[in-house]
Amino acid sequence: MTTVLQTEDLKVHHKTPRGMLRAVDGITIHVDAGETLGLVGESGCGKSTLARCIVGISQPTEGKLTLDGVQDEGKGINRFARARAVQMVFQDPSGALNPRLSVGRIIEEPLMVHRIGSKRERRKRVEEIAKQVGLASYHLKRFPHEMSGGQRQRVSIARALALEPSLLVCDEAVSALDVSVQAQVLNLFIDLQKRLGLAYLFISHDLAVVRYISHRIAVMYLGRIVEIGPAEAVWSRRNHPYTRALINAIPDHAVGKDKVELLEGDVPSPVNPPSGCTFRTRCPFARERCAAEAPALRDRGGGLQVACHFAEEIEASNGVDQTHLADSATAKEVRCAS
Amino acid sequence: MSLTPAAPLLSVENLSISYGDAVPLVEQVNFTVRRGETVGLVGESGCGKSLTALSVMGLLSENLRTGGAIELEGTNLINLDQKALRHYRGNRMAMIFQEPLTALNPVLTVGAQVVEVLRAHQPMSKAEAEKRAIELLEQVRIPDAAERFHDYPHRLSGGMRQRVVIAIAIACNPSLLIADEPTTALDVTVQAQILQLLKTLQREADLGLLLITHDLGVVRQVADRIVVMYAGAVVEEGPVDAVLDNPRHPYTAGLLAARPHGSFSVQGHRLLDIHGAVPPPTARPEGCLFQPRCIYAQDDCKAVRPQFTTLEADRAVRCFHPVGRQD
Repeated sequence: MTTVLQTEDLKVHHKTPRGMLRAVDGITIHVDAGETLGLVGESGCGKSTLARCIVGISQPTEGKLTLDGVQDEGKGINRFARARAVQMVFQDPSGALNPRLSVGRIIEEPLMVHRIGSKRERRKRVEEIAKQVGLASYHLKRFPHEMSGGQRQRVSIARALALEPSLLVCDEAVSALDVSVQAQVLNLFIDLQKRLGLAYLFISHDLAVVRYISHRIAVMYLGRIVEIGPAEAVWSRRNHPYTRALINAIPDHAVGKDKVELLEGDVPSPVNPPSGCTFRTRCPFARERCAAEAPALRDRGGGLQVACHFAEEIEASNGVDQTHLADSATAKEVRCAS
Repeated sequence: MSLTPAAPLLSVENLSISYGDAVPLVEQVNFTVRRGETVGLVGESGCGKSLTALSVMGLLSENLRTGGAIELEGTNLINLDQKALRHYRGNRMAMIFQEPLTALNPVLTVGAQVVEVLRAHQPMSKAEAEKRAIELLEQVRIPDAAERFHDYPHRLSGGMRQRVVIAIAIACNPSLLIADEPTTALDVTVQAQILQLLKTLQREADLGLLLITHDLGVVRQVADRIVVMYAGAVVEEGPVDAVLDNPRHPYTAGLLAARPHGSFSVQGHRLLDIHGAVPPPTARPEGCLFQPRCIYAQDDCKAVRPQFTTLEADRAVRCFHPVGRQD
């Protein structure tokens, strides 16, 4: 299978008056053609910064980025070539669409910029794409404000597909939609992938959405990947305490009341991250080793990679009563030591 | 005020909200909230959830007309003027909004904002109010409350800001708390913290809680009863587990089925979406409001609007052909 996206030790660091802000701190991922890599994490973990690097809105400070076989070694990739390789679908379709252009013109614009086809050929292509995303030809004469949120998101997707990219970066692309419409758009993403062999980097804070659509899932915390692997392995084996906390915090209708395991506090500042494992300040399993030594991603079998010293123990304790583990005296001590 | 334990704290009867005479936004909404009870008001955007909440608080814009009755501890709030309402808002009922950053004043410290509410409603010296404000910040589990008192909202995280908004809401010991999407802007781990806080505060003060949300998981976790709204009307009501385990209205069933579940790459299943979208108030259909999107719609659904009918004890649905099991 061809790899459409490969990053190696990608970093985005910003100088701030308070010190270096490590928004993205050494991310190595790849996405194959026809595959969906889901990226989850709380706000401020660097998901969106990584997405913006990949589509070229921001520049990485370090690391390698390869898109469709074309490598960026610091000088950037030609923006026309890049636009044909990767496109982005944003969260808020009303903000992402020009309110003064008709839907037809919005979808046609990438073709015009890239000087593809004659006017008539372009119109024909626009109608084809519109049909693919479930828009009727009368929609093409409308303006974004005349459409519902779900239809507007279809327009964003149509525009992203105009140049036939091999990778779509979807940054919270269904988060602003109501659940009945969200299901329509998720189904559309799946249909398009099957039909066009598209690859997705699907970013969301909603784990249920990511689990549904992804082949593989990467979990990010403070600019780093703490767990990555096949979607079902990440979801059901819950090797990293952060993954486990994220899943347990979902108010699922299958989970009984008052059974939610709470994670204390907020994500620490990326300007001054904790020493060792950056998750230890919120981790119920934290020990002395976690403050001293940063865990690297390591293989846990079945394609699963986890950055935690105690992944074996955590996997074994899943589903077991955790009251004796959580909030042990040592864990509290390590969490409080900064 | 003497109240029998069974009397509801809040009782909304036949509430209607319209724009002028022509455009009804909310129609025939009935529900009650008892002390110590959490009622989840759910539905998609444009269903009238927030309008209903704002009408209870008396915060609707002036060009909207309200009909029916909203009774809080026996007083009909609809007949009250703004001056009389001010006595109820804050003191007897309070509201938590979705976005804490816009609900808080960016140029005042969070402490000053809690003090402001206290002194507006209760005769209190500044020193007393400050002391009470710090207690309130501690009550909503803000660490180092005495120090955070002097912080501006932008210095706090989203979860901490929402705790401040909650502290302001409970400052004058209201009996009814209305929370409009209180955790939608928050991360899932912080959402769990805030939901637990709301439950604890409710238990401590025997509050009635009206929780507005689009998230059925949140409702399941927190609420005792659920009221489902669609296109400005209540379509289903009942105990939360009964309704979510065995929905009787096709819209409730559709919402549950549309939620992402499982893994496509493993099971290969499509999500069951509800085709179309919620109609705007100006284009609501004849007959049943849900009929154009309903896969069970028959001829009678297109002709007549169904009444809200009681199915069994404590459950009601607005549908001619309810789905699910008959218990």
